[in-house]
Amino acid sequence: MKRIAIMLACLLVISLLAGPASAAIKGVRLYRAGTSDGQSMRFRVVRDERGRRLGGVIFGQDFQLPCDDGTTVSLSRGFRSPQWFFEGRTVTVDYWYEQDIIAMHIVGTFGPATASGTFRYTEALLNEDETTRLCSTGDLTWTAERIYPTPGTST
Amino acid sequence: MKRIAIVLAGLLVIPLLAGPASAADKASRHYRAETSDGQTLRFGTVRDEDGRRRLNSVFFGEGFQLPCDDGTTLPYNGAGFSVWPWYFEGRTVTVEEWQEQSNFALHLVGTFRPATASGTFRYTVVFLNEDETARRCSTGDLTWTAKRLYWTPPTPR
Repeated sequence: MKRIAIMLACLLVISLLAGPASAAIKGVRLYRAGTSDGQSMRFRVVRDERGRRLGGVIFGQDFQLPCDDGTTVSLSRGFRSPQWFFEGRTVTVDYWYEQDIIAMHIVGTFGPATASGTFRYTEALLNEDETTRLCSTGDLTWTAERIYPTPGTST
Repeated sequence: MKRIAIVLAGLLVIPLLAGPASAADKASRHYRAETSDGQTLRFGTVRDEDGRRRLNSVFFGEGFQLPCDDGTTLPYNGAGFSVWPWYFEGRTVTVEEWQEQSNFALHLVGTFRPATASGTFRYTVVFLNEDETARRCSTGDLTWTAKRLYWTPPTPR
């Protein structure tokens, strides 16, 4: 019975996503950004009862973070927060994460169809020989266009 | 995500460390270690249902100070590890915990007997300073000797 219920639920979700309503999920806007070093990111802007906020930042596929030893590390992660609220059209994020090993700074101005801003992400790592490695995007700029979710798009 | 495992003990309330004696309590042992730099560590061992003994917890003791390469020290009281698959071979457990893209390394060798234990220990971690430079803090290579506690210690705070 449980399997059937899950299948029906899946079909319902798929049909909802496939219909005209899939053009936009109410209260959520997605933007695809290109950074000044040629990489990509996505931003998720949410409007709910508490106001308008940047709900999430997702690094693009194969986002590479340059390190101070000349290597790069892949970033496949994203960040979500319920607290990155806009002031007008602008959101400012100064985020320290995981016991102060990650710092992320975002300033973004988001319009209905486009957005732009600055970005810096820094992470401290320990090499196998227990020396430190500092990896950072440096100060980047970015421009973004709004994208519209299609079935299967993560929002 | 193993980084998350380095947590303040307050966030890691281990049922084994509290409450009335149970089968699990009987299978667990707690040791208080003194390190060669005069600080304390706490170890917990447990025997799993399959009969294998493992090092279940490693906590930095009260007032533990982690020396950093910029001359500062970092209070590390109550931080530690728990519920890792560090299994014994005989009476000895060896921990080599480091992963690519992580910020810490833990090296521990311990020989645990019914009433005492001894071994070596090194823990190194890197943090970001506010100006986004890196700060490396490490115990350096320590030795330690430990005595078993015949009471259940409270979870470090």
